[in-house]
Amino acid sequence: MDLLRFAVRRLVSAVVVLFAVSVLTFLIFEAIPNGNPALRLAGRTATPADIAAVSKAYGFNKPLYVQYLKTMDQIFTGRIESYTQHVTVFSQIERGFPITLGLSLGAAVMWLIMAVILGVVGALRAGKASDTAITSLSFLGISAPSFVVGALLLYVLAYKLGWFPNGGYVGPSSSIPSWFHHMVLPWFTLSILYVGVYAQILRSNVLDTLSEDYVRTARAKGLSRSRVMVRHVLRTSLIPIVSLFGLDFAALVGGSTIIVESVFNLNGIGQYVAMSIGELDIPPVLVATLFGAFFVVLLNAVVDVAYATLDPRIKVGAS
Amino acid sequence: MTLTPGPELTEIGSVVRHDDGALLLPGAEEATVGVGPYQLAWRRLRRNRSALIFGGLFILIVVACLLAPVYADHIAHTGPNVNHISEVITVGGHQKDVVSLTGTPIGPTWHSHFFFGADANGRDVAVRLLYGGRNSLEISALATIITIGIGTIVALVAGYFGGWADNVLSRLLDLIWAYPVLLLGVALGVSLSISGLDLGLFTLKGGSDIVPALIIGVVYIPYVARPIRGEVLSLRNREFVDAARALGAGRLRIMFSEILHRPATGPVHHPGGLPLLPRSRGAGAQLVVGDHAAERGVAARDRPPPDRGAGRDAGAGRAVGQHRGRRPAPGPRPPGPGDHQVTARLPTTAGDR
Repeated sequence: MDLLRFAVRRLVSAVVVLFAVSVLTFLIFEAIPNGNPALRLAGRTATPADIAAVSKAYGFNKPLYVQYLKTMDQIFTGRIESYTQHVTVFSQIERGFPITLGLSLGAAVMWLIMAVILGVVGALRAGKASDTAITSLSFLGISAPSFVVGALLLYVLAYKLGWFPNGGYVGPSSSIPSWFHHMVLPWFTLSILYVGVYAQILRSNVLDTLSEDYVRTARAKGLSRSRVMVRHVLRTSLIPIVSLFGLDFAALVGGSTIIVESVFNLNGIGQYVAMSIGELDIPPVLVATLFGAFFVVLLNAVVDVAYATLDPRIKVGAS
Repeated sequence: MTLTPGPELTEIGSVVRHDDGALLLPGAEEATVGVGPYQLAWRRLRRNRSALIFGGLFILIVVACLLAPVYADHIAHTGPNVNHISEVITVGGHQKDVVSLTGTPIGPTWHSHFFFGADANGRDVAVRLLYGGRNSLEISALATIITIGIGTIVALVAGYFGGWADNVLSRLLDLIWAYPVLLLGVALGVSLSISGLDLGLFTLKGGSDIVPALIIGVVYIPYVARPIRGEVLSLRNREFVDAARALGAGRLRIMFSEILHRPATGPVHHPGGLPLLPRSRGAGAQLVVGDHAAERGVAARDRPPPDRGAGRDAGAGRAVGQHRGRRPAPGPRPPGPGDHQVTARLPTTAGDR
C-alpha cells in the first residue's frame, strides 16, 4: 500500500515537473536573441514583411500562452512538425530512439559490471599495487574525453586492424550479430566515461562499510566471505552508485550520447537534439526535452524504490 | 598498532579495515580514537599514491596556466592573439611558413616558437592553450564551489527532513537535470554575455566568467545532491544520530556536524566522488558553455579573445563531429553591432560529459 501511495504521489509530481520543464523550455526561446522561429521559417533573404507574414501564419504574433497551448496540443496529438525540416518530430524520435537506447543500455551494462568488479577489488586490495593501478586507470578513464577515446578506437581497431566496422548502425531487427559488432566500440567508449567515477565511489564506500559493526556480526554468524560481501557490504555501498546511475542513464537516453553518436556516426536522439538546438528549432527541442525529462522523473522514482531495497533502514516514501 | 596484514587478518568481518588501507585487529580500534575526520582524510590521501600523482599533475597544470604570460613574453615571444599568418620561421635550419599557401598551419615544432604549432590564423597554439587553460580553471573552480556548496546543503535538508521538503527539493533537482543544458548555455550564455545582469545588489558585467561558471555550477547540482541525499536517508536512522539527538543536539548540528562529518561513512568523504564529479562532468559542460559564451560570435567580440576557454581550442582540433564546420546562418541576419547570431555553429560537445 505504501508503494501504491508512493507511485501516485510520484505520478502527480511527475506531471508538475514535466509541465514546468515544458514552460521553461518554451520561455527560453524568448530569452535567446534571434529566438523567434519566424526568422528561420521565412528564409535567408526574407524582408521584414515576409517575417511578419510568417509570424501571422504560424501564430507567433499571438500571446505567449496561446502559442504554448497550441504547441502542447500539437505535441499531445502527435502532429507536431519541425520548423526547419517540416517532418513530424515523432517520426524522427521513433527513428533515433532505438539507437540511443541500445547504445545507452549496452554501455550501462558494461560500465556497471566493470565498476563493481574494479570497485570491490580496489577496496579489498586497498593500498596495494593492484588498487593503485585501478585508481590510476580510473583517473585516466575519467579524464579521457570520449571524442579522443572513440576516434582512437576507430582508428586502431576499425581502420588499421579492421576488426570492427568503421562506424555506422545496423538495427538488431535486421541482424543481431551485426548490430552487436557495430555497437561494441560505441558501448566501450561511452562506458569509459563512467567506469572510473563509479569504481572510485564504490571502492571508498565498500571500504567504509567493511568496518561497520553489522559486517563483523554477519561474519561472526558464520556467513561466508562472498556472501557477506554481496549481501551486506555491496548492498549498502551501492546507494550512491544507484543515485548516479539514475541521473546518468536518464541523461543518456534523453540525448546526451551526442559525442559518441557523432564519433561513430549513429543517428540517435543525441544528434537530433543537438542539431535542433543548433537550429533553434522549437518543436523538436521541446519534445526531446519532455522525452528526456520523462526518463529523469521515472528513473529517479525507481532509484528511490531501489534505496529501500538496498538499505532496509530507508523506507519508500518515508516522511 | 597497525599490524602487517597476515592472511588470517584480511578476512572480512574478523578485522577492521581502515580507510587508509591499514588493518587493525578486533578491539584495536581504540588506537584511532581522537583522529578527526580531516586527519583521517589527510592520512587517506597520503596513502593513495595514484591520487597524489594525479594531484601533482594537476598542480603542475595550474602552475603552467598561471605562468601563461611569462611563457608568452619570454619563451614564445608572442601573444595569444597575435597573427603570424604571413610569417616565415626557421625550424632546425629550415625555413617554414607559419601557415602554408594552401592554408595548412605549421605543426608542432617542439621549439620555443610554435611549440604545439599554429592555428589557421598563425597564432601560437601553446600560448593560446595556456591562456585558455587559465580561464577553464577559473570557471571550473567557481562552478565546483557552487555545485558542491549548494548541492550538499540541498541534499542534507532533503535527506534529513524528508517529507514535503524532500519532495519539493528533489523535484527541483529533477527539473534542473531534465533541462536541456545546451539550450540553457546558448540562452543564458549569450544573453548574459551581451548585456550582463543587474540584480540591484550586485551586477554582472557582460562577458564575465561568472556567467558560464554559474550555469555549469547550477546545472550539476543534482549530480552531487542526489547521491548525498541517498546516503543521508540511510544515515539519519543510524544509532549515532539517535545518540546525538538524545544528547540534545539541534537539527542543524546533527545535519552539519554529525552526518556531514561522519568520519567513516560521511557522504563528503568519497575520495573519488565529490572532487571528481563536477570536474568530470563540468569539463564537458564547460566546452558547451565555453563554445557558446566565449567563442560564439557574441563573446568573441565582447570579451578580449585570449579569454576563451581551453575547451574551445580543443574543440577546434576535433575532426570527428560533422557539425563543426561553420553553417550558413539559418535566418535573415540584419548586419550591425546589435546582431548576435547564435545559431551559426553547433558544438559537438553537448552531452557525454
